[in-house]
Amino acid sequence: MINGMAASGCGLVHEAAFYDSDEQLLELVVPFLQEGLDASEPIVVTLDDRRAELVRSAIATSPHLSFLSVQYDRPANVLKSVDRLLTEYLTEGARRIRIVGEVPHPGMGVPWPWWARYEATVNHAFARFPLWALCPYDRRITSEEVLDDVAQTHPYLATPDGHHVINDRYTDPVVFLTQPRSPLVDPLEASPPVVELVNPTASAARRAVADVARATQLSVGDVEDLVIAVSETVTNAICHGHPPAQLRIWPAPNRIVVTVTDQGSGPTDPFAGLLPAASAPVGGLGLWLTHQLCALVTLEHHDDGFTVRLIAGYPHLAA
Amino acid sequence: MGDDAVLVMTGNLPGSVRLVRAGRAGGFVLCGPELVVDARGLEFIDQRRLLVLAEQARRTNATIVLRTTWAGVGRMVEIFGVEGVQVEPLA
Repeated sequence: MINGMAASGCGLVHEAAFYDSDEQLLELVVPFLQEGLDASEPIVVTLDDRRAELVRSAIATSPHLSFLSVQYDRPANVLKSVDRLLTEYLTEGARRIRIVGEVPHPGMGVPWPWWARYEATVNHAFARFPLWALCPYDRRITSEEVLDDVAQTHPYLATPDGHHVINDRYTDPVVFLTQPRSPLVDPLEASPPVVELVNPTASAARRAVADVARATQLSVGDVEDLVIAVSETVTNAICHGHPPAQLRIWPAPNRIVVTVTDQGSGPTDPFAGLLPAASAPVGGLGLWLTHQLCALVTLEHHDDGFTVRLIAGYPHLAA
Repeated sequence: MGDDAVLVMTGNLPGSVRLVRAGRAGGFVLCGPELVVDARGLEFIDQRRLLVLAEQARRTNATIVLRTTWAGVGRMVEIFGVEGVQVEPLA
């Protein structure tokens, strides 16, 4: 039990909570919100519509309590938006901010790899903020793989009986993010790519993506975003990787999968792509940009080099 | 070129972009509060060049207005929260 944590109001408290029923969700969330309201702390809740309504009906309205209808879309976007939000609250004089947010995973129809990285990155990105972030996970729809990552990325755990405990499975984010993980390979990649270019220029890569996209059902906006992302990734491979750089493209009606592989070791920054590189020279922000433009980005360090996988449209969920 | 544009940007950046009336890319001098760029021929600009433009605007306390049909530059300005570069979409 760590009662001091609740009273301290300083530093980051990043806490996971597991529940098996709507009643347990309310037992976890409502007292957390009520404590914040009693202390006049700003609170932001981001849950899906059904769960948000459930919570809303169980707590009094307050100008300090906001329900955001915007769902978590892309990790880099969320990290950027939350940083901005926290900075605004502090500027307005808040002593602590509370957030309740349900992070998406395959049980909610969203691929997990970059959300696992997100959960680890939160511990680094928001360490300077007086933030208490509660991340509820519905065990009925959450896989063991996801639960295992959640256990490694949250320093604290909340329980439905009102306890807050130190999580002894917590792993330092740098260690977590540099652990080898099974690559998420799209089933399309089992077939030969429709385009394979060696050492392409960025403009050749852009043309190839735009050409392939014509045979898909992707929106113009999704294609334009992917074109930018591929261009930035190929530029990075040319400027920072080791040749040869290989571009491969697989289209399907509802998505395009692109991989860019070079023979280098890839970025050493464990938070690459999720946070803007603080010391990056002009031009060091391409990976961060791609993470905000694609439906999924994965980074894969392997014996033969480094692969960035960019997906536009609807990513296939891992089995 | 638009009536009040003083510069035309066309092509791909990096690469074959031409800044008509202003010499090479990035080599122009901002001397007013606003530089309107007729960028309807712009097909691409990468984030490096966009941020160079933004830095140039910041140093001179000016605003660069890009009039372009290419939506991608607007997306990047939005994502980076670039100050000093405004995008005016053209139909």
